[in-house]
Amino acid sequence: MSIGLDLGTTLFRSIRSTGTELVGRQCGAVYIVLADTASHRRLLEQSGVRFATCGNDLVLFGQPAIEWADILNLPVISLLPDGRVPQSDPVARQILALMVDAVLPPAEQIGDVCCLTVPGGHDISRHNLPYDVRFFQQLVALRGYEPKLMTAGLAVVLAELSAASFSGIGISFGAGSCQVGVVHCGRELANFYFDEYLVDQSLERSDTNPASEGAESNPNRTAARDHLLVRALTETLTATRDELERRDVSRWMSQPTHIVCTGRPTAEAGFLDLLIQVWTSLEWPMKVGSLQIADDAVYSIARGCLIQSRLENRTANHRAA
Amino acid sequence: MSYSRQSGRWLSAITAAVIAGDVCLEGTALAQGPRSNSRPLSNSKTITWRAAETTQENCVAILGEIATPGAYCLETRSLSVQSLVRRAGGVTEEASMAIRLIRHERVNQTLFLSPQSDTPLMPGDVLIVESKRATLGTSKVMNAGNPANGIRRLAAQTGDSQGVQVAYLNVLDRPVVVKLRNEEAQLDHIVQMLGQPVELAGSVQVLGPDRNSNVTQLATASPRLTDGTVLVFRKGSVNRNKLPATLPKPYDSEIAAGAFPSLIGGALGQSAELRSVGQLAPMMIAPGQSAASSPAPYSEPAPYSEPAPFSEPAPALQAQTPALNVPAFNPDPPSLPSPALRRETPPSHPEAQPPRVEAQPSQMPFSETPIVSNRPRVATLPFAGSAPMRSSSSRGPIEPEPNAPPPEEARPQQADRGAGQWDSAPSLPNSRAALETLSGSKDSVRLSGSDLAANESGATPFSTGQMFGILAGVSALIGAALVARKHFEKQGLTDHSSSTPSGSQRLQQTPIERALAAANSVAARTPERESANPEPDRSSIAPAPSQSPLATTLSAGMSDLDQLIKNTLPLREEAANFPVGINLQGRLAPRPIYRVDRAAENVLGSGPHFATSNNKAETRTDRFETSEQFESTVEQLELDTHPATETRLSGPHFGRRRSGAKTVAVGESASAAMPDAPASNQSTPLADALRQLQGDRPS
Repeated sequence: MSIGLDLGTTLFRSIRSTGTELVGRQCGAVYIVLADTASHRRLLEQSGVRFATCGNDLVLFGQPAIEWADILNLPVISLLPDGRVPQSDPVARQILALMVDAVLPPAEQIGDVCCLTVPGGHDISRHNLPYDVRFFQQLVALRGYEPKLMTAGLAVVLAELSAASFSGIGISFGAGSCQVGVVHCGRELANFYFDEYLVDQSLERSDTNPASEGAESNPNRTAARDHLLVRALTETLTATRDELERRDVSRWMSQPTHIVCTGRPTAEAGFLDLLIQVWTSLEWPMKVGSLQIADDAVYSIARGCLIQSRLENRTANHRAA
Repeated sequence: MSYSRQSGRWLSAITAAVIAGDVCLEGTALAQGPRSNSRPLSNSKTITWRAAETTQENCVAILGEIATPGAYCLETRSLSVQSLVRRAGGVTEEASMAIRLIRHERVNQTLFLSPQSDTPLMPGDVLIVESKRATLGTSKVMNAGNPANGIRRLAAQTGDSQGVQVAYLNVLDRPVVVKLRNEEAQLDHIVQMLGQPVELAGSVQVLGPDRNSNVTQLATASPRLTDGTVLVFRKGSVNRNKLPATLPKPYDSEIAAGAFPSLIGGALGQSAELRSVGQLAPMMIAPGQSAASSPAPYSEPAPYSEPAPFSEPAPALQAQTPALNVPAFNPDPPSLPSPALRRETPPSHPEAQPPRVEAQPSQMPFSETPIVSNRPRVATLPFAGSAPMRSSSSRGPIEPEPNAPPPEEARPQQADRGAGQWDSAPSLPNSRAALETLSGSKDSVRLSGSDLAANESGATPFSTGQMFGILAGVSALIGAALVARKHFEKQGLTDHSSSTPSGSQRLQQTPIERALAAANSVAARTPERESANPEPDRSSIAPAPSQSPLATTLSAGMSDLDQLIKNTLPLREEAANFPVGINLQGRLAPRPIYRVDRAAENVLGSGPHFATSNNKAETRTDRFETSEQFESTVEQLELDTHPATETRLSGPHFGRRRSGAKTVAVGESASAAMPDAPASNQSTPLADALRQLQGDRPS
């Protein structure tokens, strides 16, 4: 069985194919802590919510944590602050392991390939992988899979640019980093990431801004959100353009180049218009054929991982045969 | 081998596009074609537009011992060295068989011109056709001492009195080839003529004209450059706004192939410039030109017709070719205007124009002459007119054919029209000058026949040593390939299909590339081919006509991958369930605590007392200029910490107590906030273990 795993800063997603349909799982990388009281236990048990205990606290994670945080008015705690695994928080690491187990069913046979992306920006081509990457690799391996790392940029190109021979530039506006991959015929030629100017955080700021509270149709809120979004997009895309120029991508990219974007901000209403506005205001070092955003902002990267896993599995089976 | 690999990649890319159900043309099909058919779940949010064309143009340049040096814009990427040389009118009599290829601003390789081998070109390439004189005479000079002195001495040796061809890189988005006077061929002078500060000369790299000259960084010296020198400016260092408006324009590929011999300043050339250069075209208009003299709107040129075989001109061409009067050799080369004149005066110096050619019918205007699109430029093919080949093998002086004009006879006119000049010369005189080369081409046709006969009689384009070298190299490659194949066969990695890549290639390929290669291999096995080359067990491979190559390849259990790639499978979400009764080991990380001191109007982060967390916000110590800022920060902190946050007065570890100071503890006091929290419910792992021990103990 092949499976694609997209481990994001705020959301873990997996997708697999049964032959007739795709089956996806997702789990938010957050948790809440509430007191281990009889009333809390009774309340959670009556609701059928599964929880863990830690000392004299009850811990909820994933989507139930978000729902119950609203009910009990509790703060939601991120498991991956700044997209990094907290090394001094063993409880958080245990919860991360539980979440990976929740979204990743056990492998049907040893050696099944699981292509995965890891949260935050990491150079996965290094020989000595950082702690975060090794941590998630180990979790996947414990489920019986052979973990194969890939970047979000490559994954989104595989998922969305099949008509362009899997060639183009994929941009993932993540919560912990903005990752860019330059891909030609399914081979990643370059990738880089930014952990600042994050579009996703700008959206969060606009959502929590008291001045912009109100209905979604509130023009003040929309204008404030658009302002923040345009500024973050400008900074991100300017940094992307500078990096593409520095690496002289136009020399070895097929042109016109197709661009595809994904991430939670791309699902926002009017994001495409803002993206076009910002994109056209910049001078790019290449001819751009099309600019598109992924159909499914949640599962597009996971689907790219699944495509890669299928091909890797096929190659492995072919070798074994 | 590299060429076949590259063609294989192109084939893979095309196959993948076909696989996906549509072929992407200019990005439009990508956005609209396949997605409208294959996305039942959601609508595609796709736009299609084109950004401003700011990238490098699809132009190459050729200079040196070539009939028509200059920059050539390619319509496709399929142009090769041979075809470019052919379009540039062939090499001159002084050319050696060596051509230096400058790619990516450095000397990529030295090619030997031969009909058997051809090298594809890339945009931005610069070809320098080496001269026999330079090749034979300058190796010691260039290797000794200061290379700048070598360049100067080389120029003195060559003694080129007809001007110096120099190519610029990174001045525009394409290579620029100009012809300079000998006294102007100095780096600082060139920089000044380009309107740039003289200090820029220190950052210019000079690529010498022959293979023995290396990349030279000229910091202070300003030597006289020699023919065929390439100046590489640093990217972004040239202020394009100060460039002269009369930089030479590139040749269009069709026009260079024979439709129109000279584009410099001509209406057709400007049209080609408009197409290729885009927004740079207005910059090219001379300052003195009016709007009426601006380039005409682009009109689609006639398609390029492949030149006829060189040995015998096509009868139609012969019929259409007028009888040309070869002008007498003008010993005075056309003078180039001085830099002061270049910018202000249009090139209307009659003495500077080349002698005119009386084409027949002479009454017809040149632009209406029907032969211009079919004139036999093919006659100047260097490969057929084997004077270069002969010079390559013998390395000796060439004896001109009795009927052939002396090589110097055509060169002044060729240089005048071929290499781009500073001024935008009028098209008609230059075009007629090009026809003079045409007459030389006719003579070259006669040369071709005799040289072909010489080839048939045993003359080869390579020397014996070179042939042995090539054979040895090919043998070594074949041997290495056989050894590698055996090695990978031992590891079980090779595919028995003859069309799949070798084991080493497979190891380096990505899965996507492997799938595309497999699709290509199946696509190559069409029924027609198989009937022509019968093989056993091929009946099961025959693809259905309606299936794409990838679908055919994946027919054995991989059709769902095709659907997965096309994103046609429906998506079902299932819940991510956690196990019941998990007991997490360890202590939850403490939440950040802030001390809000209203008296001092500051917010202190956790000090050493709260040093367990790495949160950036915990180390904050904010001081505010206004009370509004302070209140908004406190409000934001309380917003972040939620009402469940405990608020208490600061403890003694905060130092001196201030009235009104409070500590905001985030999250950790939720249990204390609950009213029915039983005090006896202290459930830690250690307490549980102790309680269990006590329970097991007999009372």
